[in-house]
Amino acid sequence: MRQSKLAIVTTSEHLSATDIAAFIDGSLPFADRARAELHLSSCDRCRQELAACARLTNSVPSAPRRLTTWPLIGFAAAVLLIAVVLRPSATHTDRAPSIERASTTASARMFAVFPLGDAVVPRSKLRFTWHRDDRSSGYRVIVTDASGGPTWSEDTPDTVATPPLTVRFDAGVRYFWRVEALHLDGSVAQSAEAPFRIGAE
Amino acid sequence: MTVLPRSLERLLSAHVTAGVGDIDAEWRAFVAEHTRLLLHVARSVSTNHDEAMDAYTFVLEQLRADDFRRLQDFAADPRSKLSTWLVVVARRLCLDLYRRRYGRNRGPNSHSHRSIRRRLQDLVADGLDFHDLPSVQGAGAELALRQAELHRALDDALATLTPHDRLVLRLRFDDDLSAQDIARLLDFPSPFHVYRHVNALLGRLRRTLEQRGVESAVP
Repeated sequence: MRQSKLAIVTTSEHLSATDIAAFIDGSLPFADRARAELHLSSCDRCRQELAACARLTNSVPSAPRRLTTWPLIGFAAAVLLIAVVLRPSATHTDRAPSIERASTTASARMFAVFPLGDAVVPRSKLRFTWHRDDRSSGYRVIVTDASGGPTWSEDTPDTVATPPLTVRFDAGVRYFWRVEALHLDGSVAQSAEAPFRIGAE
Repeated sequence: MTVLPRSLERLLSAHVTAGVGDIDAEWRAFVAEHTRLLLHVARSVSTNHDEAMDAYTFVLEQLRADDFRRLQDFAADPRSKLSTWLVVVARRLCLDLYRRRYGRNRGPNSHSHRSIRRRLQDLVADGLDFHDLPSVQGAGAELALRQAELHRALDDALATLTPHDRLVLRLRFDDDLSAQDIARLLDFPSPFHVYRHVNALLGRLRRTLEQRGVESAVP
């Protein structure tokens, strides 16, 4: 029997893939969403699926942009202009020696501290550190492999995160990490992605 | 009404009107557009490279099966973005393949699930220390009984919340979803609003437990 055009969500039936997707996108009609929330509040199976799919949807790596010659030249010219004409004023800070300048978001920058610059780190000593963001209510560390696939992530209120030894990192393989800071006003600051490798113990 | 991506429209149109060569070309274009997403899903189910590639291949086979039946069903009644729907369907297909090979597991990692649940209990009880029942079975029947009473009291307190509020707490503490993901999923203005709402709910649960006479972790 062909499914009706109306979303049918009952409290006893498990949610369909279509319902889960519509819930994530916020496109369920109001009454159906309320029924779905009632079901999800007591159904571990559907709720776990919803959480996993929401996490996946929000973490799909974006496609790398293919740079052609002319836009690259234009970008280089813009960088040169900013460096020569709009020099940032020097201010005293107590930054650690090996800081990688972060890419800016609309609101703020984040500074990753270590590991940086393709550093080689023994697995047992792998620990991520970054500078505190005074406007932050918490941080999220995200580690991916070279293809952008998720390897590990953690939410923390600290400025250091250590992946448990149960999380596997292969020796010699290049990984990338970045840290996001959640601000109280809802904005997010993010560091640049920094590469590192796992070395011998 | 959700607008279909061009790659899907062209694929389904080629399926109806064009020859095999055109269908293959449109299918390759569709796969190229969505391969990153599908690989991302496959890797989430298995971190083993070979298993993930098997799962990715299986997903493509299933999407193409029966004259693109799944994609046709989506196109006939699109209620979400294609990318979101692909994540859900691909994940289900990957799990189906995994279970066929390795059997149905016990669900989420039991140990981590218990420890996450214990975090909720600890936070609500503000110093109360709910132990897993099996770990205290050797400590006497009276202790076990008291532990069970504490568990029931927390479950009863959770039942006083609205479904929406219960869902917020379960996503946060049972599924370990980040505040940012919860904010997007449940339409909170920001992750900060999620934190604030969770804290308010924990306070409410605490007061409910106190009203029911649960004042100490000591059984």
